[in-house]
Amino acid sequence: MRRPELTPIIAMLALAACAACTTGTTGTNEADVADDADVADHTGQPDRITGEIVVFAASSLTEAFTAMAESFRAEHPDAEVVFNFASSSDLVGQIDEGAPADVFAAAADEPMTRLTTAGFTATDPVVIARNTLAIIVAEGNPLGITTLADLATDDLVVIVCAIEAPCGQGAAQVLDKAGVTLTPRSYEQNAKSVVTKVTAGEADAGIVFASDVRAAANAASGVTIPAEVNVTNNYPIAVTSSARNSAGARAFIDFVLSAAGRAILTEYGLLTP
Amino acid sequence: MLALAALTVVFFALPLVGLLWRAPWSRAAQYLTDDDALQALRLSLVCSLWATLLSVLFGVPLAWLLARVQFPGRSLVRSLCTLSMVLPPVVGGVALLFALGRKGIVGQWLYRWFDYQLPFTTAAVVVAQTFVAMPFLVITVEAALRQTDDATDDAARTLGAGPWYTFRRVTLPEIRPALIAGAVLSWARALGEFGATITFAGNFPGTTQTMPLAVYLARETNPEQSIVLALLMIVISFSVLVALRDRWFTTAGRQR
Amino acid sequence: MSARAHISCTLGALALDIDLSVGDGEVVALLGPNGAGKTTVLRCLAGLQAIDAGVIEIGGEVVDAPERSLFVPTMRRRVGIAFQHYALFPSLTVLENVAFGLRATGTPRDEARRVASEWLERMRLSDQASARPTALSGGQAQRVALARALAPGPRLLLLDEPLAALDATTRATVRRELTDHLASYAGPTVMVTHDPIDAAIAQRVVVLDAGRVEQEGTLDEILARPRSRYVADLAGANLVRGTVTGGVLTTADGARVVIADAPDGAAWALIHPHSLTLSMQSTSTTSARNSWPGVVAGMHRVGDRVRVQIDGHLPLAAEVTAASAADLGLVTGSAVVVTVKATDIEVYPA
Repeated sequence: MRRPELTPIIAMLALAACAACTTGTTGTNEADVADDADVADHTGQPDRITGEIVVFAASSLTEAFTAMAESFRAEHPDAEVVFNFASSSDLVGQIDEGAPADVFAAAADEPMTRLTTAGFTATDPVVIARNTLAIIVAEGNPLGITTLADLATDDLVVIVCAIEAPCGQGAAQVLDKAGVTLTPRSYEQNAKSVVTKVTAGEADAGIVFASDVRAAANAASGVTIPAEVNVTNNYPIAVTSSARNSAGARAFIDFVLSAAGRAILTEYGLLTP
Repeated sequence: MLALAALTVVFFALPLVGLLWRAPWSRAAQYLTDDDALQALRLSLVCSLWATLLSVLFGVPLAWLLARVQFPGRSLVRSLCTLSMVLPPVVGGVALLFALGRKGIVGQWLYRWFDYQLPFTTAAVVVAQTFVAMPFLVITVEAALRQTDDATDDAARTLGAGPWYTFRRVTLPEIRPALIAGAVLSWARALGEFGATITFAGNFPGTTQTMPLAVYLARETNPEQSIVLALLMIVISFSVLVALRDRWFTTAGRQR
Repeated sequence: MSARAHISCTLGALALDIDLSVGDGEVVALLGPNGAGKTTVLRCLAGLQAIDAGVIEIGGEVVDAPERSLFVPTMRRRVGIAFQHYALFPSLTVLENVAFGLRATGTPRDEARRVASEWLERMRLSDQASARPTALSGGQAQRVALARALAPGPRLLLLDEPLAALDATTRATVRRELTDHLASYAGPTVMVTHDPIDAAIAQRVVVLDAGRVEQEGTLDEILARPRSRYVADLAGANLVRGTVTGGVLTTADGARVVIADAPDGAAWALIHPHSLTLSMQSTSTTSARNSWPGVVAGMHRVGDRVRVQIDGHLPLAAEVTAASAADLGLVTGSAVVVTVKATDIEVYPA
């Protein structure tokens, strides 16, 4: 399989931009410093994290990781975290096709396993968070939905994620465990589009991750699914084998696992191990 | 020039070659005869043909209005009616929800009075497809109407023909090549429509899951099948384009 | 049937205000320069353009009277038009084009086709019945346009520059045929043209300029006594406007022309180019009463004669034989003296 080498091109562009801005502002002395920083980057000095860290993360991590990057930057001012948020399987596909990722964070074990099996991970995946499923309903729960069984009526417009998406697999398992059979009106492409349709009033209820309900907190309400029928989704993270900035990648993962990182994840409705 | 033109051809051909290259030929037949795939294909064809029909039915009068009737704010109306061409389809889908959905401006009355909810129905697929596809017909037909000679319209009127008779016997035959071209473009756009459909109509096999949706979702679990389905769509679109292209170009060429 | 119209309307820079009446079987030509409002008159008559004031009456029926809020739309006026560029329907055959008016007004298909075929036969176009308009020559297209306009039996026939789009050779033939076809049409005809030769088809000519009627009469009358620079140019004559006092006409520019005899007052003086005599700067005496210095501004040959444009206090065109032009050694820039006898100048009141 031929893999286009985009990484060096992007690295060169970034370097060129950086060199341009430094020489442009203060002259040759500053440019030397930039060169030194570059060398430090490649030798992987542990205490000084620099350069771009490209993080491919599941879309349900969008809010949490964006906040994470800000805190991370406070600790490592020379480093810049760049995100690519998409569905986990999309991201696996992109990395498989040679996209330049340093870190990969999935919304389920399965996509990560696929990547690991294919030999694209450089470190063992670590679980950074867990997510459970919840029922999302219109704000204030006007229809008084309290259980999964309440969803199994033709009077309600219920939507779930497509089985291809992690939230869809989760929903299938939860309904199975709860012994509830329902015919959704639509199998949405991802949790966000379930949220959109519920907040727009088009659907009465949907099954998504607790973190999704949390993110839509001012436009929708959540109904907790009991732990005995609920499923837990792992969010594994790993450094990719094609990482250009492994030092940065490791530092980012360390930060996510730190107390500060965990606090951010919790804040956005994720459970931490 | 020639080199650039050749490069452009390569640019268009290469993605197709890519698909062909990755296609699992040995299992292609199995994927194609899959019930879900056939269901999605049938739905796609039915919906896109309806969308084309509606585009022609409503788009031709609109094109006529834009080309022939002077009224203030005409260019504004034109921009408005072709906005969905440049709008990201998902945005279009959300906008449709706000207009025709259960809580939408018009949709809420449909729901209240007739207990009718448009989204999640096959009709919603047709609406979404028509929304994004019709502008292609409108701009093509409007351009053709602008090219026709006003004097022939005047001549028809002096001969005692009413507006409808004139349109049917004089204008319509004159713009026929453009009408066919516009309809084909609309149909192709409707057939490939994804974003507005999934956002507005949802995704349910047999009801709202058209081919592009099936291809997109299959890509996650069964990439091989998604390639085969994508190729099938290409084959259908391509053969229609080839079949009609010759026809409309020759008639268009003869007209002037 | 006949048609009468008082048309008054303003379109952009054009303020049209004319009276026009055409009798049955009469052909009236509207003659005038571009922008004079000729085509607008046709459009008003056909109802393609509403008038602001006045009345239009066709075949005894008032079809446009804004003061009475009366307007009969084009489709019900029964006015036939042959357009300048024919405006044939490109997607219909020649036969269908001619049958169109009958079909549009409810004549059954077979009957309409029969009538249309007869028209094609009269126009010697039967061979082209199933041809498309694009396959026709200019002369043929013109005949189809005429047949199409006449087939439904219009109360008024309008021809917009019927011969302008034809080349010189076909033009003479088509002009003769057109004269014949118009002769067999019983209703009134209004024809727009800017060519006096084409206007000869008409029994009466109405000269329009800037939206007003300048002159009206037979073509010969009009050309004999032009009342506008436009008509004088068509007649190829010099026309001078001025005021007569005691046998001398003085132009607005102050040029003086001695004339034979005419009553005092505003008048036109018509000077034919061939009555002008040219000589090189010299003082040879002649019996001519008028003698003006000038400079040759341009020359062009017309047959065996040379038309010489002379700039001076009174700009004039003279016509001399090619031989005398050569004898005099006339070239552009030559200083000449123009002489003309007072008796060769025709003067009539303005």
